[in-house]
Amino acid sequence: MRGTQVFFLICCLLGGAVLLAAMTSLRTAQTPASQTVAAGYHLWRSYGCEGCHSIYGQGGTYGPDLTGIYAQRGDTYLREFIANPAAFHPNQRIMPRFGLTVSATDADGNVIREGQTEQVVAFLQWVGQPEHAGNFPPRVIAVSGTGGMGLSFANPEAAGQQAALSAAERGRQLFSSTPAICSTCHSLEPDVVVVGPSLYGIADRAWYRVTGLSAEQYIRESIINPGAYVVDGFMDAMQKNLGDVLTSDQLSDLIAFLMTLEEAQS
Amino acid sequence: MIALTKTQRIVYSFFAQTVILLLLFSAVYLLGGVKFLGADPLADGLPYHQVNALANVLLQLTALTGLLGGGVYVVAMTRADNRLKDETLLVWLSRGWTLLLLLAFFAGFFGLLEGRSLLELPPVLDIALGVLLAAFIYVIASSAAERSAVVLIWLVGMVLGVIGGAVGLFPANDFLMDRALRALAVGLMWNIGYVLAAVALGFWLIHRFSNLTPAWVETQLNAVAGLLALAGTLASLPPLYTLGTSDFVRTIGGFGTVIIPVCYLIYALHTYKALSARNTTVTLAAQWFGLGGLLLLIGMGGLGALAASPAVSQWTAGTRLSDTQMLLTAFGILALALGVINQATAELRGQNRRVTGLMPFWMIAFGIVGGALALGAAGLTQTYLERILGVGYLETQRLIVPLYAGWMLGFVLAAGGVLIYALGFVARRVEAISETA
Repeated sequence: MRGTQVFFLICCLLGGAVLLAAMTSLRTAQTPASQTVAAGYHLWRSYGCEGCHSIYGQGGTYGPDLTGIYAQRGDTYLREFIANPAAFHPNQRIMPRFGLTVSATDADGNVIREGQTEQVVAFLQWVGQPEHAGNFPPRVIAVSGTGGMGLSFANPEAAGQQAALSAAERGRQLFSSTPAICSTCHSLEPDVVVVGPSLYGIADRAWYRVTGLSAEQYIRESIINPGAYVVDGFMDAMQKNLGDVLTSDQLSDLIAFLMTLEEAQS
Repeated sequence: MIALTKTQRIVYSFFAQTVILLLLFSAVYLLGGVKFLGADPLADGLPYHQVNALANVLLQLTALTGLLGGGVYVVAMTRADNRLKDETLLVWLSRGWTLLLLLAFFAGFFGLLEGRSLLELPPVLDIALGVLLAAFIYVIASSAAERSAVVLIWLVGMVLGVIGGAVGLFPANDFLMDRALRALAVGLMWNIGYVLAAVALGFWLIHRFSNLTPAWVETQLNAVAGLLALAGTLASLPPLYTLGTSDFVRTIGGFGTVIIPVCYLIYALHTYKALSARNTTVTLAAQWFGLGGLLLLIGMGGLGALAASPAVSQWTAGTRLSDTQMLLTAFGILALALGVINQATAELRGQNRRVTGLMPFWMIAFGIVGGALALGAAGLTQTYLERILGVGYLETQRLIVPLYAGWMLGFVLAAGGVLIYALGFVARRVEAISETA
């Protein structure tokens, strides 16, 4: 009896020593976290992000691991995703909209009040830096995509119906549906401004908007990189992630539709 | 009509609370699990992270309430008068515990829980939990008439649980340190502390359902508990692998791949030996004891050992395999607690009779094992598709929905078993009177 008691004690001491050694061998952060990152970490905890997401493989499993999300998606995408998660990945798990504030800037573009969204994004950037993330994950954990496996999740019947439509017709449907929902901000009526400029007659204007770019090229560039050529009198407020959200086929369909919008036909 | 001491009435109330908490946990866990099956209409109104936090808190409180009730009962049985020394303090502590349970439930219900996975209690309630547990441990330890291995190892387990809770409260401005503290806290509680306390109670059950001698039980418990403490330590290291610990830690942790299953296999062999020497006791203590051993063997001895390998852990960390390990380990602990509830309740009621019937046992056993198999298969598929082949998280999740359906089907069966267990517990009650002091 005494012998097994001693055995139990030795096992406990050994276990304690192992845990102590493990904790003391931890690498400390080489880049001290800024106040913005610390604030982002506080938000991460207080909003219960870990209930769904993991970082370094620790946490919830309802959403993807976010260790490398900043490197994958970038600043703009993450800010837009946090602002309106439901606009992304329709008909799948939806992240709640937490209503985080965004940074306020003065007329010169200087930040006068840091937003919570930027703090969370800064935190995600910090955790993904190689000096913090180490070798995890050994391979990029993609949020979406088929990893070159050629998997198809589309309803074959619906896909067949879509294929039977012309590119312009598919683009017309896409114009007012997810993931782009262009109609939220752009009207097709002449001189009707919702948020962005009306696209009435865009096919007639696009070819001369930027020297050296064809009408198709100009429209494509304006969708993928909206800040490049902002129409006079409008702000650079268009969603910046459409290049990620739309597949190349969807982008082509959308352009095909917009190219049909001549003044007489619009 | 049976006469109970105040201590025994408190034990009885702990058992009843455990059953209620388990029922609540099952309902909340089901609600969270259903969200994995497809688009969630309650994504904004009742988001997953709130449901999951409440489920985790309920799971922890269920385990703790069951272990506390068992501990109080076992120690009270060592005394001639069947009551703890400071009964007045015990009464106040039990009232405090009930209040804490209510506050924790409402905190979860109103979305006030914290955002650290498996450490979701708000700091105020976490501190209250630690203080109450420490006070319970003091009252129980000071009442123990004999320092048996069962009592000592139960105490060590509960103390480690309290230390784990305290570690989880440590402030950490560095996120890497926060991760490490979380891993240590969860490991101390679930992999070592609660397991030791539950196994101690399980070995106490051997006295009741088996012909093995008390000396054998005492001696073997010390040895088995030592091995399980070591195994639990090694099983707590994998979350540290991804935090840039030295190669030394990875090497030591890697030994867990061999040591953990050996330790749990030895525990399983003790379980088998006890079950093969059963006496005429008709309560379901033996069945629950066996189920606890089986679930711990699969959860810790199997999946825990797999995760201990750094080569495996880097691919599986944060997949559904981790959830499967947690589910099996937690239900291994709960099965042992339910065994004590079955046995002790029968004794409190003065009956050598099954307290809840055999049906809930089989429903919970098949439900948890079947559900865990499906969830484990989902975890394996997720690891292969998402982590190795590079298929996107969302696409992978859609592909493994059928496995999630299997998991939920299993858990629905288990939840039905819990419901019948609760109904049986109430239906077969005997009117009790408090013994006059």
